[in-house]
Amino acid sequence: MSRNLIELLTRFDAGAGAPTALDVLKQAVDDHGEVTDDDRRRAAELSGLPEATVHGVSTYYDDLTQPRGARHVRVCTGTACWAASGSDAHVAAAVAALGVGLGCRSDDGALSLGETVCLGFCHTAPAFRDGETVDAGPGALDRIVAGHALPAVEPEWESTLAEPVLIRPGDFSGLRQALAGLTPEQLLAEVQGATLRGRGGAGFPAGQKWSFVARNPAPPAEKFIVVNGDEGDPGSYIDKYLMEQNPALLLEGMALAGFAVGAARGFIYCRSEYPRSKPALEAAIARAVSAGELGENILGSGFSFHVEVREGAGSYVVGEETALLASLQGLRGVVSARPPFPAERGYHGKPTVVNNVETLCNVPFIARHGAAAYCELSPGATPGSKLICLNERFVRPGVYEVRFGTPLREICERLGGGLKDGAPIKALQIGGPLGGILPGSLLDTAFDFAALAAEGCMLGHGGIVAFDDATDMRALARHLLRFGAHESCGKCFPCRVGLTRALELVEADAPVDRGRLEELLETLEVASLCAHGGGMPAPIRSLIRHWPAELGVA
Amino acid sequence: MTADARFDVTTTTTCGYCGVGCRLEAHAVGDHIVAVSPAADGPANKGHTCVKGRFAHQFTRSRDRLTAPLVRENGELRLASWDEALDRITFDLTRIKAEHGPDAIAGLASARATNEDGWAMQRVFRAAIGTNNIDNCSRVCHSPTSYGLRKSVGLSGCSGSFDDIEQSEVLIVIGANPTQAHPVVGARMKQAALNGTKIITVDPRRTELADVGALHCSLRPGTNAAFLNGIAHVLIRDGLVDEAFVRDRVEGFTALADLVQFVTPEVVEEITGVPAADLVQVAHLWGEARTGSIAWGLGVTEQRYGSECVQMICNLALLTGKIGRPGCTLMPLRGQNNVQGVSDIGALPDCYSTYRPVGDESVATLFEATWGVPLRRERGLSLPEMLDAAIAGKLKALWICGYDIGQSDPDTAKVEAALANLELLIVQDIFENETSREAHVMLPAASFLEKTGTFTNAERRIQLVHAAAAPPGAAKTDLEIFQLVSARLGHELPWSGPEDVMLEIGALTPKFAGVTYERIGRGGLQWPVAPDGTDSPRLYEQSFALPGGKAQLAAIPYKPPGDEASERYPLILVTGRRLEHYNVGTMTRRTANLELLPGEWLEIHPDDATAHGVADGQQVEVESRNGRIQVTARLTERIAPGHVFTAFHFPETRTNLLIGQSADINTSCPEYKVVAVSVTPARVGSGAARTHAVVA
Amino acid sequence: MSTPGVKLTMDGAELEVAPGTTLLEAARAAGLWIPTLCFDDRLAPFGACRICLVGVEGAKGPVASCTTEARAGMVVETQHALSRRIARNVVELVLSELPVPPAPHTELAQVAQRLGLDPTAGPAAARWAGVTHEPQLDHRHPYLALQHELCISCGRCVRACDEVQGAFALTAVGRGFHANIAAGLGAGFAESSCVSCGACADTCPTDAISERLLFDLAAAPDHRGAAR
Repeated sequence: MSRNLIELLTRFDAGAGAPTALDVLKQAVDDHGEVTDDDRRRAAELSGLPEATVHGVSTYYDDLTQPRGARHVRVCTGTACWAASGSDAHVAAAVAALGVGLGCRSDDGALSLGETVCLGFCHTAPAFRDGETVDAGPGALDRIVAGHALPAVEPEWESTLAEPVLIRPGDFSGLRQALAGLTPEQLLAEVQGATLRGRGGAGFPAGQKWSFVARNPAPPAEKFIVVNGDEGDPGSYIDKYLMEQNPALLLEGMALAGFAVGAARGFIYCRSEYPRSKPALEAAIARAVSAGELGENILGSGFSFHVEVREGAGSYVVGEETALLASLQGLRGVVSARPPFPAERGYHGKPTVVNNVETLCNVPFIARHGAAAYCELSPGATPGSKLICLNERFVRPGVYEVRFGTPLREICERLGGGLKDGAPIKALQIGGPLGGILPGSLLDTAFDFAALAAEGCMLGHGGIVAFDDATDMRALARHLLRFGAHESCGKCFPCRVGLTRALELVEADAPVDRGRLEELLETLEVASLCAHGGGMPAPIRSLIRHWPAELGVA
Repeated sequence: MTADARFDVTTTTTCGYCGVGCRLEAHAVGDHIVAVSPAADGPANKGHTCVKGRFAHQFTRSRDRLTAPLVRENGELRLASWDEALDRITFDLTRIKAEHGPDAIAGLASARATNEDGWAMQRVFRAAIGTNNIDNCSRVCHSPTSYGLRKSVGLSGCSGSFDDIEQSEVLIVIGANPTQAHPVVGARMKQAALNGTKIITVDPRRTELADVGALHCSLRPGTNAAFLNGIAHVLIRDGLVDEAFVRDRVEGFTALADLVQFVTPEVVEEITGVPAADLVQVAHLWGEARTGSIAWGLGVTEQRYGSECVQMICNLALLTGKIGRPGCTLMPLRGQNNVQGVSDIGALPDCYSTYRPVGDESVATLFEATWGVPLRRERGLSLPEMLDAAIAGKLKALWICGYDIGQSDPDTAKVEAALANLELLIVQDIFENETSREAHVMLPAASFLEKTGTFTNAERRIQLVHAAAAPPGAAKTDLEIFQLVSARLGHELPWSGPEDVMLEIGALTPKFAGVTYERIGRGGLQWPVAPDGTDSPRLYEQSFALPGGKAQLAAIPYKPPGDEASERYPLILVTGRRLEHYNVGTMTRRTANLELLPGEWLEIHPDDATAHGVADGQQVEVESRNGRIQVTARLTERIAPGHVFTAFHFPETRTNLLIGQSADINTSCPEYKVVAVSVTPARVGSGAARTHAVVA
Repeated sequence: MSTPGVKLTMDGAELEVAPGTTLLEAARAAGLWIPTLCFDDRLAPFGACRICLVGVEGAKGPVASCTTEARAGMVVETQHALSRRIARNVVELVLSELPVPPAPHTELAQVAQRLGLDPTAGPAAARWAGVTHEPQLDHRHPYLALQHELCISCGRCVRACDEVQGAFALTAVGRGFHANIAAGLGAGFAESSCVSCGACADTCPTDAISERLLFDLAAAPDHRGAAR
């Protein structure tokens, strides 16, 4: 991230309370369906960024580059929608039914069709979006074609814990208790004692991240809490659930984080693919502010904390924390090498905590019940609990709160009820597109960091996508690598070129040279700058390991 | 650096455009320079350069380069052999000297040529001709800087180095637009500003640096003195003076304190237009910072009281002890590649090298002993005096090396009259120019890419210049030409090449004592250079180069500029440079820089445009008490209302017709920066002309 | 007073460097070669090319030396076999994306050569050959030529324009394999905030931005003749 550009926009923002360039460009697309040079100049003027920089932003995000007609229909090409039929049949059906090519706009400008990954309606796939309405599941395409899209049903949610940590309404009781009875240092010590690991995928201890920012002497106005709500993993809708159904819990967690590290301002970065998130969060913020639970002098404690919501524009890699910070400030959502870490130079170049939505939702419980109670939740496993979500293939898809260490068989069979029509589970992809693929034969594996890693898989963010026995694993490889290549931010060389080459290998109508593929995957794993290039090989390696013949490696 | 097969030869040299002194790699194929790139280890440029240094080298291959001498015959210049041209010069100089005395002959050395060229030329004048009538173009740019620095701190040069830029907490940039005129230093300042250095810009125009600076002070042209004294007032009033420094190392505090006592911010606001609160803020930013530097350009010097303002700039550094330490530098931004050097080596009517007076007996005898001829003790004519003498018929011969006074000097009509009155005008240059219209002999010279020697940049750094290609045709280096002429005049210049010249400079100049080409190497040497080769990146760490080792605060009141707006001439014209072109454009207009910037324009504030009935893009007539020109108007809010701006790169615009006779009181540097003008939509058929109604 | 240095071992030799020194800087100071493509010592480390990998004892795998600071007691191997093999693979991938081999004088060609690859072999020779960039020449500026198909997205030009000149005239555009660079709003250098300093061309490792005069020379059948 360019220090100079951050300096320019920080100075400009300080003077004017400027919108981000990305916000201005998004507004332009909403207004007239595309970004023009005039829009770019305007975005530059309003954000304090150079015109060229804004031009770069405008070419980066899917929302800004896909042509839009008066009516814009999007088809979800996420992995759950793909798994629903084991193909992109729903995409072809949409193209045929609407008469517009994917990524195209009709000649008269009335209709455009775009692809989007993913709408987070994995429990009732395939999903489509018409304007702001997401419709999904059986009959959705017909309704879209007829112009009568209906809002898709939200998923079921359920906790397996007697005292849920996450599936419970946020009530600011943890914040009240902390403000009344704990010093920031004590709260920080509790979070560190709880060994709260980040839920976004990397699993880094949140307390440690906080401590870096807490010990920075910057004043509260120059420290920030940034919530990573860019839940881009296809097949995952956990943060979507938390942001849309339980936003108060997140706000409470943010305020606690701000209290612990001495920050007065926070941002929630949510996804444009979840059109309901931003309004839900903003409504919750307004409620909390009017109740005195957020804003100036919270609950009379003297502690102030303000929250703002910003929305992305279509990029998977923005889920990586440095890319997220770039995007939050309106820049291209590309990854930056660390150090410097956000705890040292984050938003506006200032000390910043970046935490995943679910991570922060754990904090109110810790504030209220203490580290010890939290550690007891999952005996013999990672402390706390975890939300998982199951895709449409399951009999009972939805969001579940489980203890760490729960066997996958219990999750799939007892909670999920097995697959529809009694189909056998051929494989599970756990934790998003960068997670390995577990064969159905290994369902006795425990759902925890170490146990999954031993099978070449990862816990990731907790999304679970099941594939039934009709799934063609070479087609799955194509599906995953197509996603991987499309979403590569283009910064590091191995990922930028390597994922395209990997896709070409599996797209070719020929056997795949195993040696070449594996050396390419190794290059991606070893050399990539971030987890995108570094992680995309994992599922492909699983496919090579467990289904070499189907993959066509020789 | 890996050898690059695309080129036959790559030569490391020093840029011949502005005073930053970028080190360059010049790449040649055959006889032609095909590319120039920055030298990674250049001390000033650190691997960077600008549109001029990097790209504007095509002029060396221009079809209209002078490749043979020209002599005037029957009113026309015609090709001649070197022998013929030199015979004519020798004959006429000898005749004029015999008939009118040596003081009827004068020379102008070039700030574009090398130190060695300049040394040779002043030796030709002093020793071979016998006059001190030698000056150089710093007369019209930074002579006030030289004067002011010598008065206040002792030495005529930057007190530190460009490397102090990044170490300055505060940087005041006054009367300079470095991102246009000194692009590499400008870029360094811009980076520093983005990295925490608080830049304060003081200029009637809102410059690019102002956009990244902490504060911009848009003052009325000609009121720098009031502004600077006002800052001194606040520093003293608010206890921001470094008392120990002032007590131990400075003289003149009481007089200054008495003088500025009543120069309150409110008074300053009245005079300068800078809000009182801004002035106080500047003083506090400056006074409270641990380190700070001040950079200035011709917006300070090219004014009636420019030399005094330089002293007032020094006051600010001295009051707060911001000198002689890292990040604390007085930084004059010299406009030309060797304007520092040509004065250092003594191409001046009153001084030998390093500003030792010609009347100083011990110095003069030293020179006499080495040169073997008696030398004059009286000062010679300065450039403006030369022109006056020519008009008066007292000066008969003028030899101008690499300097187009016909385009760059003020009051163009007067310059033309002076040149027309000469019996012998020798123009030694790389192209025909405005000055050579009147030349009797033209001598074809080598450009900076075709010669060897040294340039001294704005941080006193002597750097090597190496020929990257041969001069075209019969062109010769300036040094060779001076040697030829001097020999014909009976005074051999006994050098086998430029390196010998530097040895002579060192032998006769204590501050250059240790300078050798070998020691200069790739990194240069900043004078003074001790006999063992130790150079001086930072001056005044312990004491000042003045009697008693103490610096002198100057207590000088503000006085109004030489020209003022009136009902007839309601706007103040400021002139300056633009990035793509260099001074009179002789070189840059012969490159594709002309595509990047094909013509001149007048910057005018939209309010003034409305008031004077001028539209954006319209051809306007600009008239001063001295003359009038036509130029295209462009509306911009970067210039404050009441002022207009244009450059002087294009002979067809003839901007300097507008400039009058007002000049710095101490150095005669013309007041290019404050000219009252009127701006009106152009009438058809009225081109550039002197305003006859007001011919003096 | 100088702060105490950081002592580390590099290729068996004990080194002491200033705190904050990166492994790449330490190696270069010690005269050791580590391949790089996105690095320019005037610019902040970027970490994009991923070929400056070195082995560090105890690390999970090779680390990028340009963005890794030296720490006391580190044992670093710059000739680390896995790191070099991966670096070579990355450069092979980069060669595979250019429609034509890089010119011999370019940094890319020289790095490729030094890693044992044949930079003249052309994209099809790579083990992972595939699509290449579409040729697209922009020579609207009098001095600067932009050959988009040679861009490898190292970001050096964009950063030089930002961190050296401060003109901010260049940007990365697009994403993934299609990432490239653009001046201003894409209408070329002359229509942007470009000040024609040439820093972009100086730092470009592939001649994607080059001097037009040199570009024209190279294009001429007898380029030496064309100079005259």
